[in-house]
Amino acid sequence: MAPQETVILRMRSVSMRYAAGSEVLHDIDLLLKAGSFHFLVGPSGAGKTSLLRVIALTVPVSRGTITLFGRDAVALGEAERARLRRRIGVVFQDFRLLGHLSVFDNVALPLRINRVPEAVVARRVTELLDWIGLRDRTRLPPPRLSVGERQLVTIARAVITRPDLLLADEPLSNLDNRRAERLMHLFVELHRRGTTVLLATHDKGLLEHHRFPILEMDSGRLRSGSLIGPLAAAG
Amino acid sequence: MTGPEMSELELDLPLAEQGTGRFLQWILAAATCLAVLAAALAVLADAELRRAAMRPMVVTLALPAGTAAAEVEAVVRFLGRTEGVAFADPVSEEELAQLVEPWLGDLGEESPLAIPRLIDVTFDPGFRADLRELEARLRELVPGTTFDRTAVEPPETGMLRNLRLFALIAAVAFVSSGVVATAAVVRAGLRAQTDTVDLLRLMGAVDRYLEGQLVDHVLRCGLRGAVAGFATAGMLILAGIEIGGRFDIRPFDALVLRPVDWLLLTAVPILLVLLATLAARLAIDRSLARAA
Ligand SMILES: Nc1ncnc2c1ncn2[C@@H]1O[C@H](COP(=O)(O)OP(=O)(O)O)[C@@H](O)[C@H]1O
Ligand SMILES: [Mg+2]
Repeated sequence: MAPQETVILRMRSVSMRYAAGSEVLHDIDLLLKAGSFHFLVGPSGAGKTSLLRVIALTVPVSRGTITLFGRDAVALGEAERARLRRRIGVVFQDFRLLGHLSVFDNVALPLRINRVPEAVVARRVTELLDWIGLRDRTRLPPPRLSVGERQLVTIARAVITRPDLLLADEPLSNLDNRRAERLMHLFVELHRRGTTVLLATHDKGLLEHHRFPILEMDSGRLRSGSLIGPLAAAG
Repeated sequence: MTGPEMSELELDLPLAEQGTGRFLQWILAAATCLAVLAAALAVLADAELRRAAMRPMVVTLALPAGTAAAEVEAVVRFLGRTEGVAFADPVSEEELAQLVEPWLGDLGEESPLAIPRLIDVTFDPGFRADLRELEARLRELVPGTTFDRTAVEPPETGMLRNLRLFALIAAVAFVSSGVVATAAVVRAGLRAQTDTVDLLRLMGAVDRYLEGQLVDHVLRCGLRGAVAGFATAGMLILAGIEIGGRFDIRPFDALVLRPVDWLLLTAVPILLVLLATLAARLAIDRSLARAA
């Protein structure tokens, strides 16, 4: 990560509507500093997933500006957008695993897209799957796994590249406490090593155990008073 | 490393697992096999035509009835000096009588002068004379001289030429259908995979990466199919030559494929795979551009 990138993400007055639908995000101002860790909370339908999608550049905004890794993310060419996306790991709420590939190949996907040598891919994927506890599942296709195991695969795929920015959408919701705790340690460890983390959750216990700043969403708005004000002023 | 299945699994887009990969392989194997068979037929017909072309041309020259022996002599001498003529052989009167007997009956005391004098003209092997010009020059010597042109070209030649043409057209048609089918299969496979394409793009895959994967895949399927198709065609050709050689199969005198002919035949699968890959690349480009 380049040292001068103190701000990873800056959103100004961003609104978003899904195709032909009504607006689901209103006037979002958000600033994420490099190496920060934030929880994103809010009731179901508040817009957490939508906000993460906007940041991951998967849906276009209808208003406002986004600066991501120092680039204007609203007007990007294909190659540039692809390059930014490769620095982002996303844990999708709906997993989005490829059913025709094995667990191993699903997790290897981001590395291969980054053209990492196959020997390195094999080592890193095996290592991570071992650590996560999926050692005996590597050859299976995701549809043969339990929901919790699929969630683990999704997380592994999101972190395998050690991304600069990790967007995790309810990443622990399908895991038992022991596993959830272990995976939370993984996120914290990544954060310690410099990854900027934005983690959407509705798990109150998580917020109590890990004292990271909280961004609160409601009805498509980031609630004022939730840490953004001072950060925005600082940036 | 994780074993030989690795390379298979490297493909992120599930064409192979969808069955389209196997389908593609079969299509290309069939197209290759049929195209090679057709091409082999064309090559065999061509070889036969070349052999026929090297056979010395023999035409019969007819001098009008009543031509004097001296004039016949003069014509023979003239032909002897003519380029490409191996020898000119006047048909003797006895032979002539025997020739015409089945039609005219025994000539008996009827004047042999009533029938034309014939000269068999044999040209050098491979030499194709301009009979029209030669005829014109001979007419200056003996007015009314004609060539019996029906004998110049055996009926097989025309048949072989048609066979060669149709076989070539068939080969081209089989190659083209293989190529078109490849493009169609790839396009359909990709259309069924928009979710996967979206996900890969979302992870930062550029279209070149997606295209590279798919083209690799088509190339691999194509090569497998082409090898299988060529092997099948090769065995069928060898069997056909072996069996055909035992019978008299009309337009052909001999069924022989030289090593250079086999080399030529290998160009068919190579061409097919190259064109199929190219078509796949174009189809992929267009599909991805539309899905962007
Ligand atoms: N793909 C979509 N198309 C249209 N509307 C959507 C889509 N996804 C979510 N929404 C709507 O956007 C709003 C916010 O949803 P979402 O971002 O999923 O909230 P959360 O993740 O906080 O539960 C909801 O009203 C939801 O119905
Ligand atoms: Mg959600």
